[in-house]
Amino acid sequence: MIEKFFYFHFLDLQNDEHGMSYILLDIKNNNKLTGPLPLRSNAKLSWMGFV
Amino acid sequence: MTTETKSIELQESFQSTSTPKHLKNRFLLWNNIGTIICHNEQIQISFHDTSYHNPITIDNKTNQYTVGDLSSSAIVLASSQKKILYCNVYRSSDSETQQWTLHTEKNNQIELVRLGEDFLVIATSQRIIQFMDLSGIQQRFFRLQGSIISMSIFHNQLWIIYHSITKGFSYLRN
Repeated sequence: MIEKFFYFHFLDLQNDEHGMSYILLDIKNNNKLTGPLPLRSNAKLSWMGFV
Repeated sequence: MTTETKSIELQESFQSTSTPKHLKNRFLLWNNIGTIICHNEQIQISFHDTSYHNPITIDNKTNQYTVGDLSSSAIVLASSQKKILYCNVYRSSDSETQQWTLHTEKNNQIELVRLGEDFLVIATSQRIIQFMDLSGIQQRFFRLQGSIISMSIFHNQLWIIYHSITKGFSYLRN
């Protein structure tokens, strides 16, 4: 089972031209979560990690 | 009917907790185990708990490592310019230090590396995510739909963020 407690920080540049997506893999159990990040397009990622 | 294609500049890949790549002295990593700091021609690996392991110094004149990761058992460093990966298992189960290097193909630069409990993950400029065990044996790989921005590991969970492909736009990457 994938535990959802991951976080990210970003700068929002307000542009509608591209997006970011994520993959969260549980390597041992072969589970996978995918999807778009809930950011406005052209945001700039500055940090990501598990807390 | 004409299709307009706009070009946008994509964010480069980066390792969380590293400092900007243009700095001469920079952090490649800061985590709960210790730090990897790049000084001009040396990489200094320091442990927060100094009783856990002595600091490790690695020559960086030749290989010019730009990304790295540190776990409780291994250090991994990689250079996109020299297309080389270095792994040092400083605490192995058989109590012997293992070191190995891997060279990548000319058109496939290593962009990011991450260490898990008993494996490592490499992300390359060809959008390939490659899993290896700590002795360097490839376990599996897959390809992302867009170029990678960053990735993070916690225990057995790997989290990857990448640029999504959007119709009508072409990507520029420095």
